[in-house]
Amino acid sequence: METLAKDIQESTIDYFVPTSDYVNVSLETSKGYIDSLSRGYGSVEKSDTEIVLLNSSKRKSINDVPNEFHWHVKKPIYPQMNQPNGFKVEQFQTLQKWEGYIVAIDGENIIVRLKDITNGGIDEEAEFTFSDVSEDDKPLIEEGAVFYWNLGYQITKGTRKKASIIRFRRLPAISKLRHQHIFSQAQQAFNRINWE
Amino acid sequence: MSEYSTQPQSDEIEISLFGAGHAYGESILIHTLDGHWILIDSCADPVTSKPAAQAYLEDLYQDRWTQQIHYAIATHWHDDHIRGISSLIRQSTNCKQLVVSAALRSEELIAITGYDKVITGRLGSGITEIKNCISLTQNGGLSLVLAVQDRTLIDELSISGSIRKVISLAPSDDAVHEAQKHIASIYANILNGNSNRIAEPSPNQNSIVLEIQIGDNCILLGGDLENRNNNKLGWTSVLSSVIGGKVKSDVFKVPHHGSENAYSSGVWNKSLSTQPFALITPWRKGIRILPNEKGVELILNQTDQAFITSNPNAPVKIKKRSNTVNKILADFDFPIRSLDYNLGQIRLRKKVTDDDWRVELFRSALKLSDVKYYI
Repeated sequence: METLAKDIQESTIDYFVPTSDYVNVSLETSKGYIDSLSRGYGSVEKSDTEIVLLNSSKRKSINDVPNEFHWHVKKPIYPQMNQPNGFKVEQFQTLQKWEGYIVAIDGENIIVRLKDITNGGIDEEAEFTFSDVSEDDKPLIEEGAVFYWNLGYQITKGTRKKASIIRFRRLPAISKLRHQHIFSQAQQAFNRINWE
Repeated sequence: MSEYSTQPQSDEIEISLFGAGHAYGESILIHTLDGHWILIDSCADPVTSKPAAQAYLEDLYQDRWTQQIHYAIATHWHDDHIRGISSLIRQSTNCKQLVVSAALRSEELIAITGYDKVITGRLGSGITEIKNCISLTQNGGLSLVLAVQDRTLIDELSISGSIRKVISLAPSDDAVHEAQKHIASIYANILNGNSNRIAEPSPNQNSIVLEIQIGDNCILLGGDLENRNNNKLGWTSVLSSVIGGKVKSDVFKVPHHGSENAYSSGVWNKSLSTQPFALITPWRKGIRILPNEKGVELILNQTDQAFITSNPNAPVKIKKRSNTVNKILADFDFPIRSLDYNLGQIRLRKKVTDDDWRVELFRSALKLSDVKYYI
């Protein structure tokens, strides 16, 4: 953690162009991006080879990391499903977690393929409807869109309620410099291939 | 050693089609005499990641399986046709050539692989396989052989003097051009901020179709090519091949999982012998199942010798979970089903000079006429 904090302090924010709907990210290194997970947990990818997980086995949430992180990392805002208006979600107890993507959209139905993050094993397939997705995430619905699906209990003021949260992945924009670097590497690889 | 694990003899041709249920794709191994095998596409166990072709060759050859594959061919870059292909090539010491569609000669495609971690996340995709294959070209001495209509990809003699020839009948020039435009549009989307998972970097129209000649025997592998209302694309284009179709094929890997849109009466009448062996793998996306009842009927009208690696209508299973999770799923009315790795294998063998093929069905494979559809 100390190493990461040091690197973050030394990094610049010049390369980062946050998208308007991704207000939670202000961390930046020249190659980095944040793929934040549910409820304020996140992973910070510094480069292609080094990844520091804030939601690792130590269960560090963004609220728990040293102050110097706060200078760059703000707590994410997540769309919530099936959440009664006016209730503040204080805690979410996850019982089952999937990562998935949309394979097809058939009218109101969304067919998704799921990777079981909780138990592993073979993939699964499910069907959602547009109404299962929060208003904030509806614009993100298209084939190939990646999402996270958590089942569990919402605990609000001591009251436990069954809950399902579907949250579509948002990634910050990739810098122009990064795009240029990737294309340059691709050109070099292309020229080294023995095409027959 | 069981009969299943008995190697084909050096003068014996084998065609093995593997189908991994309707969710994990297909793969083909062809023994082209003398212990030489050609790999066409790959599917892999979703839990162990071991390719079906590797598991089978290990059964036949134990540790020497890595010496058996001499050529690899990726008909097209869809997830269900390439899982594990880079691993197979990397481990195969005699495989120095990978045949790909000419459309893949694209800087944009290679650039797309630079985003694979962003695009795929932990779900993986064919983009990762392409990236791994590109890596083998940089460090492992792998060449990429470009397939386009009417190109002879392999032409050599077996030890016994039998010809071993592989010709690509598709993609046509127009299909290559169309696919490269498709790849460029995907790349443009990424530059514009789209980070969705890419499952199909090249369309079915770009699929390679192969004619394989071993001695006097001919095999037609249809990939996933479908029909188009354009003479320069799809199966109409294949029928205009200049160098293919001289010999009628006895064995046909039915294109695109037996879909109606991949059926071409011209191919059945002109390119295939009477009552050919038709080999099929099933596929499903949501409620869409291939082959459907109409597709099955079209194939069975042409041949009685049709086989499929598993039942496309196999009952859907539900994964075991805690009662609490099941109750929550029920409360929210989310239908969820397991995508079983239901591996089936159709194996055809014959001596190169014999007339008749011997058909063997393993695991979930069955005769197509035994597939039942219920309304």
